[in-house]
Amino acid sequence: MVVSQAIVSFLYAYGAAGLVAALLFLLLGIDRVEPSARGAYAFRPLIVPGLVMLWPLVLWRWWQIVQGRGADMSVRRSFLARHAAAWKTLAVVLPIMLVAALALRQSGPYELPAVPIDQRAMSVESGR
Amino acid sequence: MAGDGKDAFFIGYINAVPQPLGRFLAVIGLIVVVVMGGLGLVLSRRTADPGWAVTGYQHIEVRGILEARPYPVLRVPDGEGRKPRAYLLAGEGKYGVQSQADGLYGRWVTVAGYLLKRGTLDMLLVDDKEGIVVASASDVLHPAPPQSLGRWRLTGEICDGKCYSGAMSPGNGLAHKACANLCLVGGVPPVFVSTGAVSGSEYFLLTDDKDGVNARRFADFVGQLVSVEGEIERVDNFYIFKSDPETMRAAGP
Amino acid sequence: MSVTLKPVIWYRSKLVYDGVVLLAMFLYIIAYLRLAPNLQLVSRPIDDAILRMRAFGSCAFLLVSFILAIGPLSRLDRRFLPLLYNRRHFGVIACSVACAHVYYVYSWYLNLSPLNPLLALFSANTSYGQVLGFPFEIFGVLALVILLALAFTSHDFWLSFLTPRLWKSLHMLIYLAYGAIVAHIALGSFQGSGDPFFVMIVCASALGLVGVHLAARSVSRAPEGTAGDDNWVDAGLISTIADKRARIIDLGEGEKVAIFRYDGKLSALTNLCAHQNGPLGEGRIIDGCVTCPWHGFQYRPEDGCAPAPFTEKVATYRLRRDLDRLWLDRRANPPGTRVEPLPVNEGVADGG
Repeated sequence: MVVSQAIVSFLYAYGAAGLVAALLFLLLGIDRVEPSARGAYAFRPLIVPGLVMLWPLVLWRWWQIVQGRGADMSVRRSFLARHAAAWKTLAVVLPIMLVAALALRQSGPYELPAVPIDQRAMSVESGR
Repeated sequence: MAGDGKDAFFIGYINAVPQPLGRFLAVIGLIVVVVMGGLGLVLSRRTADPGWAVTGYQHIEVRGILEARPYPVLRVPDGEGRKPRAYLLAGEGKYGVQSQADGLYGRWVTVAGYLLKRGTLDMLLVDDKEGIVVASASDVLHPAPPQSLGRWRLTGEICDGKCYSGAMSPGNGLAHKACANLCLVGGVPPVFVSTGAVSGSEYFLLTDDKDGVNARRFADFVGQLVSVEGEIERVDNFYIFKSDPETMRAAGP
Repeated sequence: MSVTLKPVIWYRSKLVYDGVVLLAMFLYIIAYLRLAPNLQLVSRPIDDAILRMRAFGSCAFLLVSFILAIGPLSRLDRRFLPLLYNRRHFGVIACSVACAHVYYVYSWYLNLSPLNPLLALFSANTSYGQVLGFPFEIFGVLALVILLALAFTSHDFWLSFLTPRLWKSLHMLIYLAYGAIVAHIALGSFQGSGDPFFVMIVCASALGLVGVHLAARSVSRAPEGTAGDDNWVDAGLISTIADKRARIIDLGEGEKVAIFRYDGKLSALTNLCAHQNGPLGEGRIIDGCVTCPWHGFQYRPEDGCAPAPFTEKVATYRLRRDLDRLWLDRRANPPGTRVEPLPVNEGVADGG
């Protein structure tokens, strides 16, 4: 319960900080870091949920762009290797999960009659 | 090769879709739509039966004596052609009625609420306001004391009495575990649903052998098949299973 | 692609695409919630909220499974490529369906108790030490958080702001989300009333998806460039490259180059589109530009720059010939560097 309470408090704090960060970014940052956003306002409400949810990432990128770093947009190495690794992992994990879940399933054979243990219970049983 | 659309080159912002490709996509779209509609129908059609229960939310008023066993139970003595009955009490939402019942145990009260009924279980969902009111004593005899049926080992599922008796459909199983735990924490009486009957009943109010109401002790076992030992008592039409938490085991291999 | 960002850019093909996805979804939900209940063999009706949880939950699983199948399917058969074009809208729809599932769980199972529903989510079931009765909701939460993050960042602004590299890394989380969804179902729904048909559908979807990905991997290998002297690799015969098409050369470690033949000339670009890493080499030359098969992004073959007013740039590579044999310099030029195209018919050997 203490842990759950801490998680919930953290979520509220994170969300509140996200709202502040999103507001700051929309007021001060977006026109500077994203040239194609200049003069474009209609799309801005669409990005608010993402700004609130990913605000640490947003602040980091904002700072990076202001510093003039990390602007290399080019990608020459594809994600195919990571993609392949992801699917090889899923190819092992998914069948294990499904088989385990079905093997553990409680049904039929475990349904048992009530078992009398003491004398009184046995007399109730035989008196039926 | 050109005839099957495999050579066509689609560009989304150019609206014209090359024809053989367009036909292929139309077929795929049709298949997706039909398969999804069919799956929705078949999967829903195959829904498992939650079992019969009175969920009609019929509002009634019952007069009887309030007892702590240890959950609040209303004992209605026989009379006017009725057999004596005992009603389990729970509140609205995921709440018990311990606070409303406090101080009224052993007294004649009128309880107003909605009736739930499943097998030998009768439960009243007590109205939030003035659901339990002190009533004038009746001249009939006092309710019979509980009758012991001995010590048993039962296999079955721990549910919350309210959802299982009919407040939810279905109100059991592991998918419902978090909900059931919330009910138990809120003071709703736990119910043991046995796979084998004792003296004709498969439903038991579950307490521990110290007569405690610490539902958290059962929280890890709620919603799955378990076997547990304990003493069974009959109170009018319903049964109490005073289980020994030390003997509780997940059923199965 | 747009020069000035807009909320959503609609084309007719997108409208048709979204229309079909929404129709499939609505049919599933309506059949599940409205048609089938009359046919159910139950002694009392299932709660509306519970039926909806099941309908939206299973629908979200099916949609996500289908979305993940589009990539490998279009590798196996190019005719599926148009389905990839608008996958982002599909993803947002699937995420919305998952949210509907969560809404009914939240308002029916987690609500109306002495605890705040969010607190209830984390504290009602804490049996982390056991498999049966494990709080499977936590896997659902993980999947939902990922689906939301992907849906929230689906706008082109995010692609540009986060850079394609970071954006792509973020969106790779969908595979983790899929694993979490399967775990959520396996420990939740499978342990409940467990309809064997539903179990079968889930297993077939998950295993089929793994199968189609593994199958697509086996057909997607490009020829490897044979290393020559220095940094030049053998890129095969010129005469075997079709006009307005490309040959893809694998330089190893995930780096691939597309060599295009057009208007009697040859140019080499990276195979990865600056937009979403689509395979440029599987595209065409259209209106004199290399056109990506995924979303139609275009680049001039000689310098890798998108035609004005667009600003995307990709890396270029140098080529030289030895009669009909083509050699490729494995050292990439910075994106947007102009390289004089190599004429196909003149016997000019460009210096290395």
